[in-house]
Amino acid sequence: MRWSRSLQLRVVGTTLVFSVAVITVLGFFLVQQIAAGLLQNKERSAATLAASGLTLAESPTAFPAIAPASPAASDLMYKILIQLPEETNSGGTGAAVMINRSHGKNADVLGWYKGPYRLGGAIPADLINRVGADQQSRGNREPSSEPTSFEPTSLVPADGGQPVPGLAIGVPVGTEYQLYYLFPLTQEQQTLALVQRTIIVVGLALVFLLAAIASLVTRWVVVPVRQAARSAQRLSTGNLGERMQVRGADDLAALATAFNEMAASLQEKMQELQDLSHVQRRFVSDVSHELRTPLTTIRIAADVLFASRQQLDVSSGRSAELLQSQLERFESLLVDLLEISRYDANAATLEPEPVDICDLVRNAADVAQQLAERRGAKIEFRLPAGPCVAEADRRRVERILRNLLVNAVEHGESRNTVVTVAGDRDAVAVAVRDYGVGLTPGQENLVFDRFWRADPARARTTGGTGLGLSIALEDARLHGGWLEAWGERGRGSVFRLTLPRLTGTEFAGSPLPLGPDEADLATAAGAAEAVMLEGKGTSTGSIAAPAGSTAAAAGSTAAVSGD
Amino acid sequence: MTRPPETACRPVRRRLAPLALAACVSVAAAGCATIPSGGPARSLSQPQNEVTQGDDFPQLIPASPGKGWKPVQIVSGFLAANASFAGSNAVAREYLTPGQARTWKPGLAVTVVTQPRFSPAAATLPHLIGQSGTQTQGVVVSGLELATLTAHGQYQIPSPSAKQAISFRLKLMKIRGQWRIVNPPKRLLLTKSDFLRVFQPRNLYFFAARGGTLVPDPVFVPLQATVRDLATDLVSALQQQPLGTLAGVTHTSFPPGTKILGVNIEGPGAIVNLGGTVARAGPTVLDNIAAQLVWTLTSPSYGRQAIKSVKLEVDGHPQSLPGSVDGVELPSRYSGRVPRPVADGGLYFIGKGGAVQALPPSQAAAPPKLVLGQAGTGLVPMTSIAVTPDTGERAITGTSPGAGQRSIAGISADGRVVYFGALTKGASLATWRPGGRITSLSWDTSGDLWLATGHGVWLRRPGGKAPIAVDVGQLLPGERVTSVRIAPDGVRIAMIVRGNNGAQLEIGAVTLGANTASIGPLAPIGAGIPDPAALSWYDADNLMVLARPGSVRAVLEEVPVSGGQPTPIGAEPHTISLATAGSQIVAGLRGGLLVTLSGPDGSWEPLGRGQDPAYPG
Repeated sequence: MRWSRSLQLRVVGTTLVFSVAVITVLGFFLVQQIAAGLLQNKERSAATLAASGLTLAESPTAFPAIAPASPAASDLMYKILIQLPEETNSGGTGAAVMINRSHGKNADVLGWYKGPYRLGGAIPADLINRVGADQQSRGNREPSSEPTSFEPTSLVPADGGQPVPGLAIGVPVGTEYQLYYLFPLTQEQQTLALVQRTIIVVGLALVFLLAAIASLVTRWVVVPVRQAARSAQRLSTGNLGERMQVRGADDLAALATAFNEMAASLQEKMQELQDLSHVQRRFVSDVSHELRTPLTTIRIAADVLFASRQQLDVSSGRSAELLQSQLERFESLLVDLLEISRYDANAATLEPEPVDICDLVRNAADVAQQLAERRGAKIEFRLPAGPCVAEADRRRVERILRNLLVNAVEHGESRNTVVTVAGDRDAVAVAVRDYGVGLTPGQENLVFDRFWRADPARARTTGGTGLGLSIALEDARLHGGWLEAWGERGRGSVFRLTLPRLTGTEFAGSPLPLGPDEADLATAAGAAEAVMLEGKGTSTGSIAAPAGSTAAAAGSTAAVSGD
Repeated sequence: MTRPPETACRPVRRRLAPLALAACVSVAAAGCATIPSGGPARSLSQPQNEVTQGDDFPQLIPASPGKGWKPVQIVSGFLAANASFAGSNAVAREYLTPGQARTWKPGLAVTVVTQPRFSPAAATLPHLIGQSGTQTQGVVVSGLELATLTAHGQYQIPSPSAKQAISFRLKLMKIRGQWRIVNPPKRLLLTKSDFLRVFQPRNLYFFAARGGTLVPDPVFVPLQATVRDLATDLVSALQQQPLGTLAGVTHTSFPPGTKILGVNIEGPGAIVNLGGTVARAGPTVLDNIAAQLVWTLTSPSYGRQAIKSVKLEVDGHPQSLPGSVDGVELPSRYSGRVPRPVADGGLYFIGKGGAVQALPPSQAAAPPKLVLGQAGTGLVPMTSIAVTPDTGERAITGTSPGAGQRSIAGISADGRVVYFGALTKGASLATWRPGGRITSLSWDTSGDLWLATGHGVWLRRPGGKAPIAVDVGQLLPGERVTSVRIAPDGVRIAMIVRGNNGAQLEIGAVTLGANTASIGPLAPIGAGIPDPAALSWYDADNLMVLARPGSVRAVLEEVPVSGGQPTPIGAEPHTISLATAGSQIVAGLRGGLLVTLSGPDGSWEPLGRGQDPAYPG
C-alpha cells in the first residue's frame, strides 16, 4: 500500500488531518467569540437605550402616580411609548410598555406596543416573569439600580416573512410598569455570516497551503533519504564504488558523508582481504610448482634406491620403500593442491561433451574393482538398460566417480559396494553405497572440507591427501550439479552425484534418493533419518553433506594417485 | 564529523509547523484588519426594502380574560380589547362564548363613547331556560356617544340636538366556570382616547365634478402596525366611489372593474399594482389615477406623511406617465390639483372711512393702498367684505374684468344690502337685496357669490342671472345658517348653523344644477366649540373658527374637517373678525385694530388699523 510506503504521503496526510482539525477548532472558537462579542455589543447598546427610555419613563412629569388598573394607566403607557427614544441604526426596534402582570392582574389593558414585528411571542414569557420577579424583589429602591434582563427571541415581521433572530430586553419601571425593547439581530447575523464565510474560505486555503508546504518540506528530507537507500542497495549488491552526493552542511549532508566514509572503509577492507587471499593462492600455487622440480629429482633418486633395495640392508631397504611411498603421496598432494589452487583462482574450465555416464562409471570402477578384490569384496553395478547420456567433462566426472568408489571400497569394511545410476528428463545421478562404518551426524558436511579427517589421530601416512572430496565437490559445482552425502554410524554411507543433462541448466531434483536402499529399510529409525536427510540434501543443493570417515582420506588418496 | 542525532526532534518540528503557521497567519490577519480612519469619498447606495424607523403604529396589548373574573371585569376587558385589531380582534373574541367568537363580525364600524360605566343587572337568556346549572348575568354599559365611525371610515359626530346617552345590556353566561359574553355589540365600542390611538385620519382624494380638482374626503383608517396595511386600505377605498359627504359630487377616476393586485412599500415609496379594466384605460385616466394615489398616499394632512412617492404599475408593468421621474410620481407634480387658500392675493380690509384697502403680500413693510373702483372710495360703507379668489375669472358684474382683476362683495352696514363689483379703476358697485339680514358671504372659484341670510342661503351666479335659493336639506326647524365659507375646491362648504341649542359647525358638499343648488348631507364637525361665530378655510383640511367673538375669552379653533378634535389657538381679547390663507392668520379686534399671528411663539403683532380683514376666497 502506498500509504505505508511513502513517508511524504503520510506526512502530507497527517498535516491535512491535523490542520483541518486545528482550523476547525480555531474557526469554531473564533466565530463563537465574535458572536459573543457582537451580542455583547448589542446588549450594551440595548441597555443604553433601555436606560434612556427608563429615564424618560421615570421622570416625574411622564410618570405620575396612577393606579395601574385604572383607565388612565393605558393613557400613561401610550404616552410613554410614543415618547420613547428609538434606536435608528439597527433597522427597526420594537418597544412595549406594559403593566407588571403580577400586579396588574385585573387590568384590561396590559400595555402598548410599537414595532415592525408581531407582538405575539416576541417578548418571551420567561423574560416577563424575570422582570416581574426583579421588580418585586427590588421593592422601592433607587431607580438607578434597575436590573436589566435580556433574552434572545425570534421576531416575525408584521407583514409576514421569515422570522429573524432578535434580542428582547426588559427593565422594570417604578413598581408597577415594565419597559421592553425588541432588537432585531439581522445586522449581527449578517456580520457573523460574513465572518463564517471568510473563515471557511481562508481555512480551506490554509489547509491546502499547509499540505503543500508539508509536501515541499518533506520532499527536502525524503529525496536525500531515498538517494541514500538507493546507494546502500547498490553497495550491498557489491558496487563498492557507490557514493552519495554531499550538498551543504546540514544533517542530510552529515548522513551522506558518514555513508560515504562507511563505503570507503568497507571498500578498503574488502580490497585488503582480496589482496591477501590472492597472495595466499599465488603462494600455494607457486610453492606447488616450485616443489615439483626438486621433487622430480628426488623421485628419480628414490626410484633408483627403490629399484636397488634388494641390495641394501634390511633397514635401508625399508627406508627406500618408505621413501617411495611417501614420495608418491607427496606428489599426489602436490597435484591436488595445484588443482585446488586452480579452482581458487577461478582458472578451472569445463570442457563439456555428451557422454554416457554408465561408461564413465565402468571406467572409473576399474581401479576400485582391483582394490575391492584385494579386500575380498565386490562392486555391484545397478545400471539402466540404455545409455545415460549427459553433457559433462569426461575427465572431471571420472575423477569424481573414481574418488567416490575408492573411498567406498576403502571404508567398506570388505563389504560390497553398490553403484546405482539413474536418469530423468533433466538430470542423471550416480549413487555410491557402502556398508562400512558410516558417518556420525554432522559429518555429512565436514567430509567435503579440505584436509578434514574423521579421526585426527590417524596417521598421515595412511589415507589420501584430504583434498579428494573437496576437489570432487568443486568439479560437481563446475557442472552445475550436486554432490551430497548420507551416512549413519554402523550402517554405511551414500554419496550421490547429480548432474544436469545439459550443463548449466536447472533441475528440480535428483532421480535417485539419498539414503539407505530398500534392503536397509528394516530399521524404521534409519529410514526416517534417511528421508530427512534426503530432504535436506535436495533443498541445500550443491552444498552437500559428505560421508567419509577416517578411511575416506585414504580412499581418496588412492583415487587421486590413480589420476 | 559525527553530529548528534536530530531525528528525534524532526517529526515534532514538522508537526508543529502547521500550528505555528496558522497562529502566525491569524495574528497577522488580526493585526492587519483595522477600521480605516481615512480614504477617498465614495457614494453609498441606499439600502432598499428595509424597515424604516418610525413607520410603526402603536398597538394595544389587551389582556386576555383572567380566571375567575367577575362579569363586570369581563365586559370592561372586552371593551378594552376592542381596540386591538391583531388577528381580527383575536383577544376580544376570547371574551365571547365560543359560538359568538366564531360569528362576531364587528368590521370597522365604531361607536366612540366616553369612559363607559358598568352596572350589573339581571339577565335571562330565553333559549337557556330549562338547562339546569347555567348561570347568566347581565351588565349594563352606559355612557355618552361622542361619535360614530361608519364602516367606510366616515367620522360622524352627533348633532347637538341628538340624544347622546347610550346604554345597552350585555348578557353573560358561564362557560366552564368562566363568564363569557353572549351578545356582543355589532359595532366596536371605543373610548375617545383609544379611538384616536388606533384610528388615524387620512384623506382620500376624489375628483370634483368640474374643474379637474381633487377634493379631500377625510376618513379614519385603522392603524394595523405597518404602512403597507395602511396604504392597502387607502388604495382599496379609492377604488370605490366616495361614500361620505362627497358622495355624488365627486368621483373616482378608477374605472369600474379595476382590481388591486398589490400594494408594496419599497424604501420611501409605494408601488401600486393595478389590474382588471384599468389595463384598457388611456393615459389621461392613468394620470388621474396617479394623481389620486399620490395625493391620498403622500398627503401630510392630519399626520405624518406615510410615504413620499408612488410608482404605478398596471398588471405588473411600471407605467411611465408623462412628467414622471423614472416612473416615480412625486407629490410636487400634482400639487396644483388640490386648491388651497393662498395669501398671494394680498390682504383686503376696511380701512379708515369705510374704504377698502389692500395690503400686498410678502411686503409687510409696504403701506396698504386703497383698492381701485368704488370700493376704495369709502363712499359705500361696508362691513364683512369678500374678494374673489382667482384672477381672470368671470364675475357676476358682467363687466368681465381683465386679467389680474378681482371682484369684491360687501355687506352694507345695516346688513340688508350686498354691494358687489370689480376692483378696477372706475368700476362701480352693484347692489343686491336678497331679503333678510345678511350675515355672511363667500366667493367660490367659479365666481359664484354665496350669501347666508336669516332666511337661508342664496347663490348668485355670474352672468347676471337671477339668484338661486340654495336647498340646505338637513336643517331642522328653527335652525339657520349664519355663516358660509366655500372651500377653494368649490365643492365643500363650511357653515355655522345656529339653532335652539346653540351654534354648530357643519360641513357639506355643493351640488349645482342649471338653476338649482343644494348642499348635500351635512356633517357636524368641531364638537365642543363654544359659540362659533366667524370661520375661514385655513388650508384644504382645516377650518379656522373664531369662538366667543368680541369677548375677553375669544379663541381661535383650528378645526379639522375630518371631524377630529379642534386645536385651540389663543386669540387676542375682543377679536371679532378673522381671515386666514396659507398659514397667515389675521384677526380684527373690536376698536379697529388688525393683528396677525406671527412668529413661532404664537404671539399676535399689530398689522395696522382697520377691520373686517379678508383674503381672496
